[in-house]
Amino acid sequence: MDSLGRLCRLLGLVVFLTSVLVPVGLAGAGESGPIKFGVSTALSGDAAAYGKPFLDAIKAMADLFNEQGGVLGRRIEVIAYDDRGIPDQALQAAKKLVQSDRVHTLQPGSTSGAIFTAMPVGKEGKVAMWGYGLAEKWLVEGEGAIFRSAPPDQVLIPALAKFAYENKKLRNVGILHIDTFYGENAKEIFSDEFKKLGGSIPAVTTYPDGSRDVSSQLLTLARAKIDGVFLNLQGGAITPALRQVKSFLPPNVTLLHSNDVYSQAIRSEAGDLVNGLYYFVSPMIQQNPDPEVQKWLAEMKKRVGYIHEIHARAIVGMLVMKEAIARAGTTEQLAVMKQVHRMKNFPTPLGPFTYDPRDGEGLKSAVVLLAKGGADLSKDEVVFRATTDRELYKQRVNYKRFFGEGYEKELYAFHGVK
Amino acid sequence: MARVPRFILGPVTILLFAVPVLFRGQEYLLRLANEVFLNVVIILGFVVILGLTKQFSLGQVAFYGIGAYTVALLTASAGWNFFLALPVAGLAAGSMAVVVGIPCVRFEGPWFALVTFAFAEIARILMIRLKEVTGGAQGFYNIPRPSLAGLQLTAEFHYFYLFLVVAMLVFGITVYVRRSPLGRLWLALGEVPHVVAAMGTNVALQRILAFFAGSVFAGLAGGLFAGYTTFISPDSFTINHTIYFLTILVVGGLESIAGSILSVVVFTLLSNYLLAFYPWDLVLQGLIIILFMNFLPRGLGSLMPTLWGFANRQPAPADDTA
Amino acid sequence: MSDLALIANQLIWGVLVGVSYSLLAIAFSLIFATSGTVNFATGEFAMVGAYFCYTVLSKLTGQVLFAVLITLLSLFAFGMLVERLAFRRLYKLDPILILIATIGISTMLKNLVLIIWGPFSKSLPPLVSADPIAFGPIILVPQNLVLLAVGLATMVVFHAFMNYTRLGTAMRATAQNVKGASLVGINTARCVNLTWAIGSVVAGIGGILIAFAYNLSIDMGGLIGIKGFASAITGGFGNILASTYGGMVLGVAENLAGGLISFYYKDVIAFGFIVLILFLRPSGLFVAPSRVRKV
Repeated sequence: MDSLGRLCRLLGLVVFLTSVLVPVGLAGAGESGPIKFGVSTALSGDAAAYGKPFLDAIKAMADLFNEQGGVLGRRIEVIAYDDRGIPDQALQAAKKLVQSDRVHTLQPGSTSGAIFTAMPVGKEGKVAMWGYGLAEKWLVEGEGAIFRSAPPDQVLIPALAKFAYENKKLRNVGILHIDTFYGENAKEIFSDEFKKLGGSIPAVTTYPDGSRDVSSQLLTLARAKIDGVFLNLQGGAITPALRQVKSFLPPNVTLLHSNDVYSQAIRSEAGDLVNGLYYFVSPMIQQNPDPEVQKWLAEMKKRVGYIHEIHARAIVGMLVMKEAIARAGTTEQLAVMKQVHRMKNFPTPLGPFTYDPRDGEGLKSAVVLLAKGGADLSKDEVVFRATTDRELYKQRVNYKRFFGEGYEKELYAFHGVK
Repeated sequence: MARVPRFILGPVTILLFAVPVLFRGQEYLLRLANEVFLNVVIILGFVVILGLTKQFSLGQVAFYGIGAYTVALLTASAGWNFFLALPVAGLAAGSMAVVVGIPCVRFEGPWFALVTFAFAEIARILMIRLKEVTGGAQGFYNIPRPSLAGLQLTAEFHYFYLFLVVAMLVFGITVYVRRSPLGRLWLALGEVPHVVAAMGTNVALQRILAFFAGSVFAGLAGGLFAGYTTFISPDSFTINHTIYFLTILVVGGLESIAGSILSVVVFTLLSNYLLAFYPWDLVLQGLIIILFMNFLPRGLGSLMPTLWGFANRQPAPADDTA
Repeated sequence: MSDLALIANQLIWGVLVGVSYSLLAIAFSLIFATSGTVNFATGEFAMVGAYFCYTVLSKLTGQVLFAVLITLLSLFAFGMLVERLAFRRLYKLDPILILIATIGISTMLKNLVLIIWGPFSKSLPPLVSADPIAFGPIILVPQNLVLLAVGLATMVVFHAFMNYTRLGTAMRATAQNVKGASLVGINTARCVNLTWAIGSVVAGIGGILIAFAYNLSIDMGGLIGIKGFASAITGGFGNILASTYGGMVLGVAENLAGGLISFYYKDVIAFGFIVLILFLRPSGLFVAPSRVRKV
């Protein structure tokens, strides 16, 4: 058949062309040339509000390292793709970074769903990984091949709950949270901690991602006899919601918020609406006199031009990863991660990084601030600090598959934990 | 009786099956191919529903999701084998399509679009709300990788063969149907429904059948997706995905099977290579739709008379039975 | 807070959002009536209006009235341009294809706005004091009342234009019967073009109201677009007056349900409503039922 023959030839041509046009990874993740840091993060869509500052900070850190001579005598190159905060894009980006660009380290995504989809790619691809948006399960699922570059929500949120119960003497707190994994997680952590302390959660309300109208939710909360409310709002919803809060909630209700209000973009938009809010945040803030913190804040201001809470997580991730590579003397996945596992009191702007082999966390300090400055973040006041060294999760990290049988025992002994 | 496309037994098939051997070790290429095959399955569903019977369904992504969650539930929670779960996933999606289709088939163009869109959104909200079943916004993780007789699929090329087989199956069915009297009936149904109704055909029944078929394809694709990524969440099933496939369909040509497949290849490669050019690639997507609508409304398929002719070729009239 | 107070508060809130829905519904129906196109990008037109207004307010002038005027003029031109460039050729095609083209426009607009203005949400300066006034348990926000007034005024002006001016009458004629209208000497092509222009302006006003009531963001178009579309269907798609009522009905129903039943399903209720109307009274609540073609 004439047309059949032509179709066959055309398809054959397509297959051939595809293989030729696809830039095949020839050199592979080699031992010379620049060290490639792969980053998949949200650069468009709602989550871009966090993804873009994150990438800016990463690039600034790479520049800094290169000015100081790089790592192992090699330059650091950052390759970043947009994952739009959604899992399939994250998968696409991660596969491209690992399989095509052959990166040496991978930050697999910005939102939890994205990271969880992309993480197996890094694990199978034998690439050391780091991230910040991880929930507990993901760190455990990481099997030691990934570390978190920030204190987890399990440390930050309980600090706020503790502050609410012990300092503000709140006993009935309602919750309004965003209807995503992040919001659900935050609600669970806050509820668990607050109830453990002896308080109660009379009402939980949610709003869908993208919505700006929380009038019904607030009216529901107002009817529930609360003395405080924990708001877990994100991005564009914060300012309109705070405005509605002023309308629908009685003035004696104490307002607690997540760390999303520690962001210049949000503060510029919300202005004085945030005043009076208590919120948790990780320790890299202007009000922290720690010289390590001040040094990095100045550095970011100089290189990137603005301040955002996310910067801290980029800085820590890059610092730890660079140190681990330097100590390992190679970019090989297991060697690098082993160095991460052995870190004790490594100085970072979020506190000394000490890897806890039981839960895989390295940073366990939190701070609670009172917003006072309107659009000026620096005027917010520290009202509470918390540090913990307790084991955070019910499940422990299982090192067996990647690091072998006796590794866990050896690591526990090294850190002096059981 | 329509003939099964012979090339399925021919040289191209051999070539395709040989790809992982020829390109051994080039994981990224295989991964791109996997994405192409998955998208082909989805787009053929679109061709059947939107292209042939012209039912403007904006809800296909929901069936894709139903397929994915079905496989997830059956393999992770109930311990089924993936290869048993996959066809069930397809049927689950198809059944849901029938349930939605029966009351909705009476609606014309934009209204059908709206109800199917409403259905898709409701489905997505349910995916989030039914936490105990679907994992909610946190997603459904630890979906076991497909395994058959002790062999588990882990590498890209394992999946390559699975996806290739399914894609070829779906392609074969689609071409078979398209070249059969049923296919011609559906095409006529899309173009001149009144005429077809006047000839005594049960229009509603045929529409539901087509809707069913296309949605089964979507369900199968969803099931494959679940087994491939081992993690699914409602974020993967939004209107943006629908828009992406609409773009591909429009560029390929609504009724053109060959055009749609070519379009899938082009878009899959582009979307992976344009990954570095956020969000211009989305602007481009929108622009492409506008340009094609204005200058090439019948899509690429109309530029390839040969391919168009091949896939849409009808057997000689003598074979006809009304 | 008693049930009655809750109802009252949600009712008031519902009327305000209902006005913005109505404006978008009008834009949908207007374009559909004259050109047969369902414009899925209407929400994005509203978004564009909001962003234009934001830029004018922050870069050109602080005077709100003047800024809005400039914005509306720009939107008018914008609508004319879009129709002329993207849709003029498409009317002879299958309605499905035109629909898909509007989806293409919406994607382009959304991402162009993202590129130009960035991913962060933005707020407009307050029109009046933002503090709420309480009448017992009833809460009124002065700014929202101003917005409500503006929205209602727009609808009145629009209806007056359509019914009492020559141009408006010409457009209505085109909406009813294109061939007949051209037979009596109306330049239908220009009317259709003007429809898009006016539709953009109306949608833009809706977007500006939303921007003042809440804020601006890239994804704002999607949500109000679908609500606007649903409102038009609820009222009677293609019938401008009916669509106006439909917006108010949807806004109030959604908020009452959200307050009394569950906030959870506020957006789903909107969809459920649509589905219900389409099944039980497809012509719309405010349009006499005609036989819907079965095929």
